[in-house]
Amino acid sequence: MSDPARQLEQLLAAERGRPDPSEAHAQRVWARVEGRLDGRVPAPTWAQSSTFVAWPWLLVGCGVIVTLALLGPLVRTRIITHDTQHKPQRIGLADFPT
Amino acid sequence: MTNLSEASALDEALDIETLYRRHFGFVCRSALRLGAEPASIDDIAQEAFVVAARRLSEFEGRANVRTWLFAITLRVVQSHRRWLRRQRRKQDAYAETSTASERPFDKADAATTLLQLLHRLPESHRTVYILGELEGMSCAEIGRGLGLNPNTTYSRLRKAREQMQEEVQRMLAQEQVG
Repeated sequence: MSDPARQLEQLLAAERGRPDPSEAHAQRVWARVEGRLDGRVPAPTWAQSSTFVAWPWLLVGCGVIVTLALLGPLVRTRIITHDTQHKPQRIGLADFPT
Repeated sequence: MTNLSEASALDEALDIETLYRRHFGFVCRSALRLGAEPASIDDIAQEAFVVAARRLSEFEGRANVRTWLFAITLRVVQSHRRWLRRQRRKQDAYAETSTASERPFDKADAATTLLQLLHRLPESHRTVYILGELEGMSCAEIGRGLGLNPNTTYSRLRKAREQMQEEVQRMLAQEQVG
């Protein structure tokens, strides 16, 4: 076995031999688990907080919708007025056969 | 600690207290190996067993109960890590550059060194390596528990072993230079 392989095996053996927590330690945490399940003990702060913050995304989404709603008709008008093939013309009563 | 493969995983899963008594040590060890800070291990174990108790009815006994608990612990550790990152960003106390991969080796003891080496693996490889190499589970068991294809599991385990060898070589080279 090469030196790094032997070294790694020693490290693994040391980690495999990590002792279990004491009975008193296990009892202490179990009391908190029971308390959590009964609703007597609150969750740790990090477990209470939501992992996804929605409001910035909602704000951005609303902004995009409003922008599109405002710019949409403007863009369409510009396309129509600059379209040489279909230039808007004045239409008077004279254009209609009586 | 009882070996679960000897017992019926489904029978055991019916009782959270038995599950806790048998696997509290395993959950604590796993959280530490997955990169949780020692000071947070109790909170993480507590949260993992609360989640396990609430999801007992969903456990169908197809996977080893230990891999099921490991998957829960992994998600709890990830959630805790995200919260820590947000807190640190808010406080601006820690620079984002101080990642584990850039830290020098602390040769306090062999187990600590191994944890430092483990933290240099990508998480997907680390999880498979912990279960396969440290807990002695088969690729099939790991795959069932983590929802991975056996070939993917085997491939990740092989790559993780190679990377661990490389990291040890690098560590030895650093020691020789220093």
